[in-house]
Amino acid sequence: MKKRVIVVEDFNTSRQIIKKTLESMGYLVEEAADGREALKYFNGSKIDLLVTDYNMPNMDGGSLVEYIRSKEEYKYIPIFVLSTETNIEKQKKAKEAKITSWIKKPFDIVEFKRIVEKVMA
Amino acid sequence: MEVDKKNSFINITLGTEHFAISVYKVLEIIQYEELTIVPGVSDFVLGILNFRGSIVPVINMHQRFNMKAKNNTGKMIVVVDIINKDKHVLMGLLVDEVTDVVEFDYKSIKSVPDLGVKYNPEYIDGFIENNNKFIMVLNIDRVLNVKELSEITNALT
Amino acid sequence: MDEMIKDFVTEVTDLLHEMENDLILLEKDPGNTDIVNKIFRMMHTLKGSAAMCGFRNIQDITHAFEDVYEKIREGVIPVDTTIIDITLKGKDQIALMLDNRNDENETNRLINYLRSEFSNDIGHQFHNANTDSYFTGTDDHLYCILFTPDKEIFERGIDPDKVINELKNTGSVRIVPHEGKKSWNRQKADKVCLSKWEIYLSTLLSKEEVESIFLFYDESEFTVYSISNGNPGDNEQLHGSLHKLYKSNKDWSDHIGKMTTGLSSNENEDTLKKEVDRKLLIDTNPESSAGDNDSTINVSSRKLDELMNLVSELVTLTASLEVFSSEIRHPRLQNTIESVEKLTKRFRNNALDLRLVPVGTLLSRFKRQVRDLSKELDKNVNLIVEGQDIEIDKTILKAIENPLQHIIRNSLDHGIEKETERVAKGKTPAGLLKIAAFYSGANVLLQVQDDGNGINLERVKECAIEKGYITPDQTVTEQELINLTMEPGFTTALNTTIVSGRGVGMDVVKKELNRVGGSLEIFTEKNLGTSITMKLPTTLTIIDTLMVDVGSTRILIPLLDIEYCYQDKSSAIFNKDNRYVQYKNYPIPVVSLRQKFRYKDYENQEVMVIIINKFENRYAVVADHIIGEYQAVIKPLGELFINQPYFSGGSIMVDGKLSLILDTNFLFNQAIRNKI
Repeated sequence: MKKRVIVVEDFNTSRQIIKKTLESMGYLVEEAADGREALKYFNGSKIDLLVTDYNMPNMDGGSLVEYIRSKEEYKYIPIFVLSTETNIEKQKKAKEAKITSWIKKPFDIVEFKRIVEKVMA
Repeated sequence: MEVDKKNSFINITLGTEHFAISVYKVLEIIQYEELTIVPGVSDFVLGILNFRGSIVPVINMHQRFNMKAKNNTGKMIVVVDIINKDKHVLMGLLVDEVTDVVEFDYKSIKSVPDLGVKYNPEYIDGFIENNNKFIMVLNIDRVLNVKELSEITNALT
Repeated sequence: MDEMIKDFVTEVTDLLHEMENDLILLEKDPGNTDIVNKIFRMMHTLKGSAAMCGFRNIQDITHAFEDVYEKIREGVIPVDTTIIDITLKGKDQIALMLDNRNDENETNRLINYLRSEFSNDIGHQFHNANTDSYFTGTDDHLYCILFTPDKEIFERGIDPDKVINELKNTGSVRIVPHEGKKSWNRQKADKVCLSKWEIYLSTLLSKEEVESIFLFYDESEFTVYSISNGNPGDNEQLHGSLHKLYKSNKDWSDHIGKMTTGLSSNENEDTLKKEVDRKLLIDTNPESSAGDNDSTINVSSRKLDELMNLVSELVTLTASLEVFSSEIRHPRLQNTIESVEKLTKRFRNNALDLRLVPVGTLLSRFKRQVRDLSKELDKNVNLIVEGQDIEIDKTILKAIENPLQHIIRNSLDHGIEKETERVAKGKTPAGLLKIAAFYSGANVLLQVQDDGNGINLERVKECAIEKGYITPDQTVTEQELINLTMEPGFTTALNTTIVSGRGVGMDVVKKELNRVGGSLEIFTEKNLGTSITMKLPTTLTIIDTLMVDVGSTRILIPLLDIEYCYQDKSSAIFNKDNRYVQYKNYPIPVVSLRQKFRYKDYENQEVMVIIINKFENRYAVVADHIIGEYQAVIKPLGELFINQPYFSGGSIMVDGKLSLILDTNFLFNQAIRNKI
């Protein structure tokens, strides 16, 4: 069965690149342009990975992560949060944020594929 | 005909006819219970039931012998174990009644031509007389020939 | 001790599989230095592990290969068919060595050949004690890693086991887990990490490379200490950390020394011999090494069947318990029942595991066969294998081995044409052979496809007339002709050089399949190719399903195939000729199950629309209500229902009643042929 990835990013071009990259790796990808839109996917159905931007209108990455981590079914799923350099410095470490890893923007596709493979193995 | 030393048979009724099935083929006799219908197959298979953890089809025996059934008079289900191509297959037979167990010597089974051809001789090993009744001894493996049955079962599709 | 040998055997078997695949890849891509490096590392790792477990012969042969591949890395020896062949032969020998079935003479000849042909060192002495050169692995680094993931590590979406496995693949490891009061398995189940790990690693990787394995971990959660080869006990920092870990003041140099013994190949032969002897003394059970073929223990299928029945009864009973407990609403009872359920699930998984094997174990064996066979037949073939993770029952796997071989052989022999012929036809010079496994409802489908000649149906018709199967003026459909090729006696009578399509043995294949309750389907098109699909039952499997009601029938739809579902009014969906619903801005065909199963039609009521996604194609089915998710133990419907298309199996529910599992594949086929 295909693994399911949710991609949340407000800038459409970036979102499509991430989506296509993940699809080429064989994953089923669902997309949303902000946190609020993404909520509909977290309805109890299985999700294998969340890739989300940090700064977004309507509901940012941080709030999204906080919300879904409060749900029993999604407490332990891997989460990557995309962020610009400055964000990472200001924000909490991945450990405190309860995410798997920060990913610097703009990102290297080869690197991205490598860490996705690593976490999905 | 097999020379079977043991010769107990259960006696079942379908309409006005009596049939005998070797006890060794019979696993259990159960009271009719609600069956799960399998949509899309002919009503020759009345449905399926759960028998000791396996799924067993229940066959309309009246139909098998081309008898006119009167409002599904079947009350008992006889679960038999037949051999099909070296494999054991379980099936349930819906019959009217299971009257008793009869014992008789295999030698006393008279062959079918004596009776005249009413039923397919392939299905009957012969008949015996018991208490003024004629009981047809069924060759249950042939009656429930899987290939034939599955064709009938899937006649709708 | 037993455990170590068992682990070693498993590790080696896996490694050898991988190596075989890599060698086949390398043959097609001789310039691929990544693969050469990988094989070199594999030989190196094998050598080390073999030394630890006392397999002297494996140690010797892998050492010889290591030298050869070192030279390949340096560019001194080129990669060619001879090298690949010899490595494959070596790999076979190693596999046999695991249970002492190798031919001593053959092995020695191989080793000598390797040394003389590829080595510049003549007269390389192995059995000289204190000879550094034998054990030299100067590239090896020795590390001690203290791994202390945060208690809430699981809440970051990562599992420490993954990192541990990765480390195991980089070299020789010795791991000391510090579990604390709860077992690691318990901790994983509760999603709380209380364990720490002390890991000793001997590898070719640099410190940075090792650290990068811990990519997702915070720096507070791991430390990699480099231990020099000379004095492993010198590192003060490491000592301090170990103090904290063990909370004791013992002499750590000794401890570290002991932990690293046998890891690095910079080991004095005497010490190694002592270790090996000690281990051999403890190992008094001769049956601890690999047993029959590829199984470690032989268990009668009947016993496994019994076990499986008990397991499924247990699963059903626990479900009943859960239902009752929720009615009673006693918190402690509910907690206990929950624990019982978790335990039962794990028990079930373990039991299931006993019978289920991934198809890949069979399919990857074929990679090698295809390679050898295509050489033998002088055909250029590209082999693609998919779905290696799909699991099926052990007995079924065994049963399809021969049929598959037949089919593949036929495909290579009669199906795929020689390179020149293909080019003349305008096809790609290499023929394509694809073996794919995938799920379909409660069945597993195994498909073998080629893009070769296709079955020569005209010739088949001729033969059929000749043999008297059909009369000359009889009209026969293509499918009927194909079915004829599977009649016993038909194929054996054919002269296979005349028939340029499938030939020998199809009747045998069909019989073998039927024996395990499977079936066969063949599609062919002249000059385009042939596709043979085997449909296999998964005798006892548990799948996650969605339980729905259709009329008075309870239907289960495999959750795997469901993409989405929503509620709507039946009048909105079924109006006039409208046979489509809108989903993601696409119209997709919709089936009313009520209609299919001849129940009364809907009267403008709320119904559930379930969107099914099969092979990237979608269609929708309509049911009355959704009852909920249900884990179904699949029971076969039986012989009578083999040809019936809608259901792939049944399931016995908590109350003893039966439900039917929908075959989403059949409906999908109907959908794409627009028969809905």
